[in-house]
Amino acid sequence: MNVKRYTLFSFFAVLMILMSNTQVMADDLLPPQLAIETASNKLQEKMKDKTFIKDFAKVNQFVNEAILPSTDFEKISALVLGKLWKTATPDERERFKKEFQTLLVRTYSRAFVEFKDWSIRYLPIEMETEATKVIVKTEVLQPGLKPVAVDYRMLQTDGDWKAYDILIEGVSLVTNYRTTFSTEVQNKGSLNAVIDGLAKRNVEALAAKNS
Amino acid sequence: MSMQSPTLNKTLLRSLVLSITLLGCSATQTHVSDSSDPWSAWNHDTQLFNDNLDKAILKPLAQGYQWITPEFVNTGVTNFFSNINDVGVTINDLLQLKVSQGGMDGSRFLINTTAGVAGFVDVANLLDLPKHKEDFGQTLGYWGIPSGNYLVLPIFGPSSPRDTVGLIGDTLFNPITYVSILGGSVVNGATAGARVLDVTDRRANLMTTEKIVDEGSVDRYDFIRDSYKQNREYLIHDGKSSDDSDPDLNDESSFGDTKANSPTPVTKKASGKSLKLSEPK
Repeated sequence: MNVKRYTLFSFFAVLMILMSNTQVMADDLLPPQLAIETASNKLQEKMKDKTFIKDFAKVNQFVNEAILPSTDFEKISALVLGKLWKTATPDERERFKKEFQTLLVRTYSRAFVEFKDWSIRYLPIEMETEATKVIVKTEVLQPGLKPVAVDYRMLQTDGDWKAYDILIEGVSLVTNYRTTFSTEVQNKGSLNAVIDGLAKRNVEALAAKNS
Repeated sequence: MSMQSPTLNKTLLRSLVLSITLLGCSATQTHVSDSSDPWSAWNHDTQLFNDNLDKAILKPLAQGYQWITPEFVNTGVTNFFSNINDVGVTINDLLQLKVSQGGMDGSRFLINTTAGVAGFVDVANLLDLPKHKEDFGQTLGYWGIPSGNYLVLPIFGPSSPRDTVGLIGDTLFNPITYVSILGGSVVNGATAGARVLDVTDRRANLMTTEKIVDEGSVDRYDFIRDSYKQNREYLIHDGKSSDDSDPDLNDESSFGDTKANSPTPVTKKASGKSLKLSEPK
């Protein structure tokens, strides 16, 4: 019995040493990965404040500011609307962009509030030196739960890397929302009606709701 | 043949539930059928049925379970069923000719069953043997069998004809099935209890996902359907996303730049973080 216990103990000791090693090797991330890291570090720091995360509207505001530099909402909106973007008026585009951004930030905020003690592991990426497009693969780790694969499709514009799609366990948000909005427009008759509906839901979701 | 009766009963119960929901469905044809989702009417109704069942029974059960169970017990239970599931994962690895992965998952099962105290501790994960997700539906997909239309099953939720057959296959690969067929009434009671625990535990682990889906979906049905379809494709291809899934390349908004398609072929490998160890705790 004792022998077993010692073996197990030394086994864990070795594991601890190995793990501290990986932390040291962690730091040479490439620019697109750094863009994600900068944003998530900000969020991670703030989420430790347990009183702060009680106010969902405030969390939203913070998440919005944190991810804005590394997220291309203009492109995401265009991709999500697809064909509809082409025929939309400038005013519709602007309104859709605003409301859809609120929806995404809301969803993202919810995820960050719900996930406990998460940390992010960056998987190695292969990247051509001149590439302006890359997929940053990460895993969101939470104690006691299986890692969740979260990938970011990123594009370099004017030297900045910005995400234009997020894939969670292979589910692309852009692809998902694209189907949703094309059906919505069919059902409701016009893009304007869909934007109105979206705006209404956003207001409801953010009004006086504690997370 | 008395020892087969519990399974027979279960099948009977399932077909009964199926026919009841079928009856209820024919009465309400509210949703316009769409060519990519011809069974949408049935699916909407079944989803409603499942949601109500969830609200009435499963969710309260899972919440109670979460409330009384310490975190480490919850993790242990999840690991225990995940370990039993690894038997099926290994069989499906081999059916998909993934021999080395099959070896890994077989070892996972052996290590976790012994060193991991009957599977309650996921020791193998710390030994660089991560959990793989394989099931018979994926095996069928691997061999080129199309998924068929989106289909919401009563109780089981999102599926397709292919994955329904997969579900039956996986039941055959699950050791608990044989324990309940071959065991006496006491064992049967125990395996039934185990199944309830398994489902409850799985539901409890979905609480977070549920909240995020509710926050993010514009249309809950569409959101779940599209997520299910995409996730199944992803699992069949083992997470290797093909380039044609990039929304920027088959974009209809003519947003512009496709210049990214002609990069200079100099490849630089980034080390990123080491892949060697997973789950730092």
